[in-house]
Amino acid sequence: MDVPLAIACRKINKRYPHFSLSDVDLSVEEGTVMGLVGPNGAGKSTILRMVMGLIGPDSGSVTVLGHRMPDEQMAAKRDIGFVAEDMRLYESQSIAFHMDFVKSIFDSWDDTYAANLLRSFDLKKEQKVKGLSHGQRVKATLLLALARRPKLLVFDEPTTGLDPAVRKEVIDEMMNALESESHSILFSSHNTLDVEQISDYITFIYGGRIIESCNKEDFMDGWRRIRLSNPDGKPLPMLKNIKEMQQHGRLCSLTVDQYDEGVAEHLRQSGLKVDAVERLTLEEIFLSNVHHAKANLSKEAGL
Amino acid sequence: MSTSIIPQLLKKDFMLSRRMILVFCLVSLLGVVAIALLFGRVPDWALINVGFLLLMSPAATCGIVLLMTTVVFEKEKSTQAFIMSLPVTPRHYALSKLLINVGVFGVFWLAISAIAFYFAFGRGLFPSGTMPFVIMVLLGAFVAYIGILSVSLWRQSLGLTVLSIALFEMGTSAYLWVVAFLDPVADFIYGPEPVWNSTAVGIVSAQVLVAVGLIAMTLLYQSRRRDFL
Amino acid sequence: MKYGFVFSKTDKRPMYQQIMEQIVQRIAVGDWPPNTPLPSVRELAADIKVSIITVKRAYLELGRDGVITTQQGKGTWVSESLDMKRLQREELAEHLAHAAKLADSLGISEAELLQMLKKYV
Repeated sequence: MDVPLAIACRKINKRYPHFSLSDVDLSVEEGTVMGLVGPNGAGKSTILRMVMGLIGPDSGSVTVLGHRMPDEQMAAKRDIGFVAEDMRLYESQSIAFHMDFVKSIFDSWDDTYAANLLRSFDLKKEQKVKGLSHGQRVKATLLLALARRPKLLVFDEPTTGLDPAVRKEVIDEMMNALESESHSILFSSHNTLDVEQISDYITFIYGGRIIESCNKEDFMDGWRRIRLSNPDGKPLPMLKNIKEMQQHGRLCSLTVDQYDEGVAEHLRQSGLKVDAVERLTLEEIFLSNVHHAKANLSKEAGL
Repeated sequence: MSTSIIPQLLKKDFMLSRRMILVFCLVSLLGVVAIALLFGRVPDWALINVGFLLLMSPAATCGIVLLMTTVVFEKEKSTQAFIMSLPVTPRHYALSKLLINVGVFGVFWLAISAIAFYFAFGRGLFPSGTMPFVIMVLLGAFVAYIGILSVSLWRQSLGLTVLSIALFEMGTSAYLWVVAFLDPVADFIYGPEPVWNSTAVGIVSAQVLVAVGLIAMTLLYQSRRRDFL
Repeated sequence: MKYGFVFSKTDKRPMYQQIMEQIVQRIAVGDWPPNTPLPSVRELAADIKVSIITVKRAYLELGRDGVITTQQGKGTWVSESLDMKRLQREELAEHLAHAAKLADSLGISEAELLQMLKKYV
């Protein structure tokens, strides 16, 4: 079963003076939500800009909605709505000015939807951009992207810096946009709760490399924290899916991925007592991944 | 091939700048009125100097300010990211900026040239022999403007643009002084008839070629650009 | 919120299980009698603002348990011959199995376990 891909990045490489993307593979199936998670400077913004055709890779290919980027960016951008943290509107102009401007460019602009969004977002179109708060600006920029009903939404940190109420409004409208089967979302976020809630797929990026990319449910299912007691001081089996280990006296805590019942059994058979097996939140998984990736990088660097 | 959005970009930039353009039009008008009133009432050399200033300053200032707001500040204020998220390529973006800036400045420049010609030769302020040189001066201003615009589109950096303004200004003045004293030109400047010898033709042609060349280079550079941000 | 699902952010269980519970509750209470059509995965996901894959999982698990029935092209509905009591019994059996395992790993004897159970009956 081959679901068409809204986005297909293959073996992307890009070198900057202080940073590089290495061998990045990223695919987003049509009709799904992909959440891109990673610390600052990991390369999320760079990837998103490549998807938009604003940056060209040194090697590898970027295909968005069937168009090669950045060569066919004009055709692709007709169907993409982009919102980024460092994007600004014209301060001296009103929201209406921007709406008219975008409407004059896109046939797909939906006046009714735009009016609904103004209402949901509690914005008045006569308001000038310079008088808007940060949250209102983000919502205005979002409105301009959503009202044209693009097939793909690409959002760089859409909820960063927003208060909980505005954050909810933004997430709600993002999800509303997905009612159509052919619409997809790629977004990057620090906010692991948002990513956990709405993503179908999650991609972890660290230091310019993709650490993991998979189905959210399978992913969350696979990680566990196992709390053990080791009263007889038995040695711990070196299972390869142990991502983190903490030991204090006779107590031990393991963070593992690709968990299944066999892991707990194996530990029991090694003479350890399993006190608890807990699921992890995405934030905990994220931290564990970063920790592990950092440790790996240090090992590679021979430190 | 998708339709370009250059008309919408031009309309947008014009809407954003129209008040400023209007102000400069009014100032220029006042300048022209002042020249007309002063004509005959002040010594010719004074009128020439003041006239030149009154005509060129508003036009040059308007051109520079427009260039700054449409090109440099759009990057500094990050509105460029918003525009680039729309269906537009770097080449079309640059083309729209060239069109509006050269368009607005061009209108001012043509008006100034016409007015200058009227007062200089229509009303006999200069001997006709000066015509080639006057044309060189006017073209010099135009080439300088294109040069500054090209630099600003190349890097959209405030510092670099300001530097290029200074360099082109000094460069153009220096160049015109040199030209004025070149024998093939100087010999005929005060004459009663315009003399288009090979030097004069050569210089004017070179100016036109440089202007066209700069525009072509700018567009070529933007078409090949793979990293916009 | 068209379907009125209520989720707790402090509930440690995964979201798909919470969704399953909400659906089962509606069936048990009688709000969704047998043969009631369920919203499409996409519709429900957009309504409760949760990823489609999570809703898909919930539907999948409920389908496996026989609580709901899905047919290609026809959609999903509450199973006709639904034996709520049987399902709840099965759920109880699962809990008891889990308790037994835990007791075993804690070294609690069968007698002690029964004693503990008596306290809660």
